[in-house]
Amino acid sequence: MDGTGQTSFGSDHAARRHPRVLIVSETRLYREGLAEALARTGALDICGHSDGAKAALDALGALTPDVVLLDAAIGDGPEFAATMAKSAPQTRIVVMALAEAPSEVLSWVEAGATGYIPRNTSLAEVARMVLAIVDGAQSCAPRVTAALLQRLRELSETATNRPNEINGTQLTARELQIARFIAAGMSNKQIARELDVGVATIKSHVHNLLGKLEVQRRGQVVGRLGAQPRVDGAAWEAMLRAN
Amino acid sequence: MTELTAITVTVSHIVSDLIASLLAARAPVAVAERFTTRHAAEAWISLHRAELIIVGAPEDEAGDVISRFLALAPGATVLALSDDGRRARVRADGTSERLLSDVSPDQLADAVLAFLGARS
Repeated sequence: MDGTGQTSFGSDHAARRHPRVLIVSETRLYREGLAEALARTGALDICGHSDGAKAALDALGALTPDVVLLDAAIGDGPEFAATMAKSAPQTRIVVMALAEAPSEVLSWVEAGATGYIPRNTSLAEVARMVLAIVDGAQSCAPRVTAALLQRLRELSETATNRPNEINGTQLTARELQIARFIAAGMSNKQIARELDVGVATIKSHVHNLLGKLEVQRRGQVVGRLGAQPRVDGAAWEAMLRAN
Repeated sequence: MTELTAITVTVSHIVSDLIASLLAARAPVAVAERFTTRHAAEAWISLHRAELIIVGAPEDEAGDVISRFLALAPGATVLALSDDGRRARVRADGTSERLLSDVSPDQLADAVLAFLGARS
């Protein structure tokens, strides 16, 4: 649910020593109360507060805040965070009063949130946590850290094992990567050094690769890769990230 | 003005702090205890004095919750805040209840302090 579309504008410090923060909440008591309480800390420059999605998007353009402090109870939740993240990629989205359940945190982070303030945080901690997030640090419950690591591992495995079709043949990202190295004329030893793995591992990949491409010699790999291998940009980037 | 003792009941830490901070900026109010259950708060009230009880309650239960706390602490002012924080009810024993919708920090603080002032 959106609010009445209002944004209130706060101070406009010429010397931007403190992060400029836009507070977004559909609940008046929270947005105005937080603006008042956080401004009192002197650690944050509260540049405004918005009562809903539309007003917040307008304010993003007008105020160019460093941080959006977004009430976790906002309508559309992570979807709205994703819209904001696309709209102003340079702005850090910090989700406020979030239930620190791993699935909740993951959904907001995947939507584009930079960090979050757990619901059980004291008001005195909020400004300090926002500053830490701006500085690249986020305190997490151990359960959340574990969930984030697991998600990272899953993404890494997906990137490494994602099949890529080369002229009708499914290759993993790793096999595709090795095929490209072979096509570039690199030896197994050179490839092993490049990928920081053992030569035996590369030999195994090459064996599988030749089998999948149904060729006998590595020199034939170039021909099978073809002029336009069907690998999209995202797959290529994922492959590079996997290394 | 003597410092007033407040307690918060079934209100998240951050909201509890927020209300306490808003009130404290306008009057000497200090939160003595925070309770995560009404039962624990009721037990505490039977042994201690609180001038202000801030309780989070679903709207359909707020009236009953306020009455129950006032029965235990007749001298207190009770503020019941809805789950979404948009509506508040303030009541003290022997006074009419005040209902606040889309409540602002100033409105909330003014209403609570008016009740507390009337009681003192």
